[in-house]
Amino acid sequence: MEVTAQIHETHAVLKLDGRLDAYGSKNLEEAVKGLLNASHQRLIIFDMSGLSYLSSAGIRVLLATYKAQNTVGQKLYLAGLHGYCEQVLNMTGFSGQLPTATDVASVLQTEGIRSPRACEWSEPFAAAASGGTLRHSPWSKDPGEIRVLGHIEDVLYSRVTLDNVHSKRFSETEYSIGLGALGAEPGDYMPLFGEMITIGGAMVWLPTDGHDTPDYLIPKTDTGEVSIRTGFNVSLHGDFNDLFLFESDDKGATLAEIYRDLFAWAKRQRPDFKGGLEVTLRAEMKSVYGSGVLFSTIAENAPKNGEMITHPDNFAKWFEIDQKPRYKHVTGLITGVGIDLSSDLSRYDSERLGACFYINPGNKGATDQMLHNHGVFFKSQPFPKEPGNLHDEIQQVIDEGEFVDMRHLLDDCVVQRALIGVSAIQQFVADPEGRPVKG
Amino acid sequence: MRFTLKNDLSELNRLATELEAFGQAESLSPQTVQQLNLALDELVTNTINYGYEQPGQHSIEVEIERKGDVVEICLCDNAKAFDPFSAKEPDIEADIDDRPIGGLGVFLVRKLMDTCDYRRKGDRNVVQLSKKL
Repeated sequence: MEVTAQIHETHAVLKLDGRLDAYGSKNLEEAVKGLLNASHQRLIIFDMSGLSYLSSAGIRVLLATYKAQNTVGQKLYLAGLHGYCEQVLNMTGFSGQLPTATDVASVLQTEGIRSPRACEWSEPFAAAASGGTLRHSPWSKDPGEIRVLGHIEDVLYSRVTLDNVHSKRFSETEYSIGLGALGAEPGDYMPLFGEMITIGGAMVWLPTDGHDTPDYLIPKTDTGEVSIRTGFNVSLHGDFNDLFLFESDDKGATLAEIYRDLFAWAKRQRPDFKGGLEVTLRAEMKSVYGSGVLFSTIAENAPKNGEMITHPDNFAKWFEIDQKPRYKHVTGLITGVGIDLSSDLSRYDSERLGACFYINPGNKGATDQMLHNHGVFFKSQPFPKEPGNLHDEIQQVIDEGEFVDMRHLLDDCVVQRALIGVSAIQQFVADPEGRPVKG
Repeated sequence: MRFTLKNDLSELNRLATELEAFGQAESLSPQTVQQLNLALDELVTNTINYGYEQPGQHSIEVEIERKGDVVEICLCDNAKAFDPFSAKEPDIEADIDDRPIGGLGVFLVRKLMDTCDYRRKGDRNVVQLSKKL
């Protein structure tokens, strides 16, 4: 029997395929043991839709899991039980006693984990800067907060040392960008720090080992407790306030133009807009232009001239800037932050705000806004027919997409169509969840 | 038809394959095959898990035959003497929190089969089962 685990912050789904007999139940016992030993307990769902056989040895594991969950105040659900296996459970008198559900989705709804929230799309309206159309739907009232670990200046001067490296866990709801690496010992991760994104439960980073090959990690098969090492990280706390559906003609629109339209909308429609937006897109990309650091920005690598790595004398050596599209017609999951420079930004903590942005010489000429976006790309996936919950749409791309690459993005990446989640940033704060790796 | 299983739980997969072949040869319904499989699985699993005091390889012989509208099975092993049908039936009406984990296997065998007999023959356990089609 095959057990496939998907472990989330709030719940874990174990998909059981094949025969749950005394032999197969050993696999399940192992998987359950891993979950029960994790640092925190969660709802467990056995997805039994692919189960063809069940014996008393299997029922024994179901019952033991149920009881173990009970003692820690958590639940076990049996989802998708059918046919023969359902009959066996009936025969033993357990069917009415163990909580069952038709499928995983209905458990998530019953338990309030995934809301079936539908979007209330407005009529399309013209978007001036991008030349496309936008439709709007309200989403969450959760105030958006940007949590910052470290300072972009330490990256720009290449002076990251163990003293300012943090470990950070991440979950499926995490949208973040920064400089990161994976690894147990400083010697494993310090020399490799590279551009990083976490989105939809995946962590993707570009190790600066000279191979230009990203490392793509979905920690679904362990207990979701992978720690990222980071010298600088910016993450969204809170949910999206507004969703937008962006469509354009063949020409598409640049990220810069789309941000401009979103700033303009926020100024008109959101009294709580203070100049900063967190923006996440599930996008059909016409073209991707990336830029990225080529070396780990640690103190040992600091430029000899003492200037920033973006200084004209250092820039060419330190950065790779795409002059031509790196990819065309791919599906992108993008997340980032932007500030509108015509707004009164003094309402933000200026140091934390300043920790998130820098002038990338690869972005030419923008004086009205500053953006910082990272993206992960997949072979073109069909755009959802009825785009709705952006978290779910992103999850679907992660689950089904064929991974291509990740990049720090230049503002002139071209987007053809996108489902966009936007948070009006209320404050930039220090990230309370990062733990210093030293001490 | 007759086959031998080793005392290893991975043999349960082979048990299933053999019974499918038997079902096909005797044109039994998939449901009947599943029921025969479950009954045999439960007994074989008990023998493998609890029957042998000495480690090492042992074999369990299975003989299965269709006689008209009855399927007759004989299960034979050299494990320690144990009559599976002497155990008390579990109370399946009891509240889930009071139910012990286990004791269900033989209960299922009784439910699925029409007759269940045990005898000790020399140093061997012989279980005979029959199921009306």
